[in-house]
Amino acid sequence: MRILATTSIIAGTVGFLLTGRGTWPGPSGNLPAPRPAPEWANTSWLNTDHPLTLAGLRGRVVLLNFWVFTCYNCTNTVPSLKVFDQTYRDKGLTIVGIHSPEFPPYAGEHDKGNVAKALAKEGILYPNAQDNNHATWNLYGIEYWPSFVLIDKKGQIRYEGYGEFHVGDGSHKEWARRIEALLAE
Amino acid sequence: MKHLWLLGLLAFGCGKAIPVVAAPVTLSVQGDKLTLRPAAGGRINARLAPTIELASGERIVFDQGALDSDSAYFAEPPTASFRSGTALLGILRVGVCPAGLAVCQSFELPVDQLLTAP
Repeated sequence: MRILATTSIIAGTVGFLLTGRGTWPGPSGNLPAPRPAPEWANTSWLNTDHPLTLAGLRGRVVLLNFWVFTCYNCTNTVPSLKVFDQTYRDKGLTIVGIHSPEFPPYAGEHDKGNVAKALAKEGILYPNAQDNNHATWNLYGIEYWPSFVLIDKKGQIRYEGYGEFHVGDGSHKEWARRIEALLAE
Repeated sequence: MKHLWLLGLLAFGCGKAIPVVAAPVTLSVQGDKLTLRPAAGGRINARLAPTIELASGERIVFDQGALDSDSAYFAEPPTASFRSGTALLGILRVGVCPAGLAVCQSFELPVDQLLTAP
């Protein structure tokens, strides 16, 4: 029983680490089949003069990034996202940051001014929505910071994944390959 | 306890979202000091100080403790002080980032079920 109890602790801890979708670390594999991306309804936006909608982005490839400025893994991934934005925006990619707080408003993550400061600090130029009530987070079934959803020109979810990555590493290259593939369709 | 290991193995084997089996942190109290420790392999987000939201509405913030070189995680278990006589009932909010896995999760845990002696 002692061995089993020990196993339970180890397996339980590993289970905690591994629960969720996809493969650790980095992006998950292909989805079994594309499925329609749900329309979000966020009303508070930054880096855009009007709220973006999924319907309005039809014909473009869309990369959703679920993040929060208090998440180190998230901000570590920003340089990669900026490279994607610079490389592919003119070719048909729209990156949409979905800023999703971890804590209640007292932590400051809900404050639009604080999000704006974070965007400026990180040099983020792509649009960001505030998802203070986690409506879009829940709509897409997100569990981890950071997470990513890649949507094709027809509004179908083609890839999902999570976890920090960096310019030039394997995950970065894999996301780039996926973006390029969808842009070419 | 008898079936805990089975749940753990299921969690490991399935790779699906199921209820958390092992607590991602432990919380101990000594005198008027609380200490929060991550489970093995975990790191506690220091950019978002762990906070106990007491049933009374008060908050206890874990903002004491050395940080890593990036000021991103606590390098040592964070601590917090509380007033004598405070009923430690409420929830703990904490962001845990497993080392090497490059993601963070946010947890909301009942304090009374976490508390242990040091």
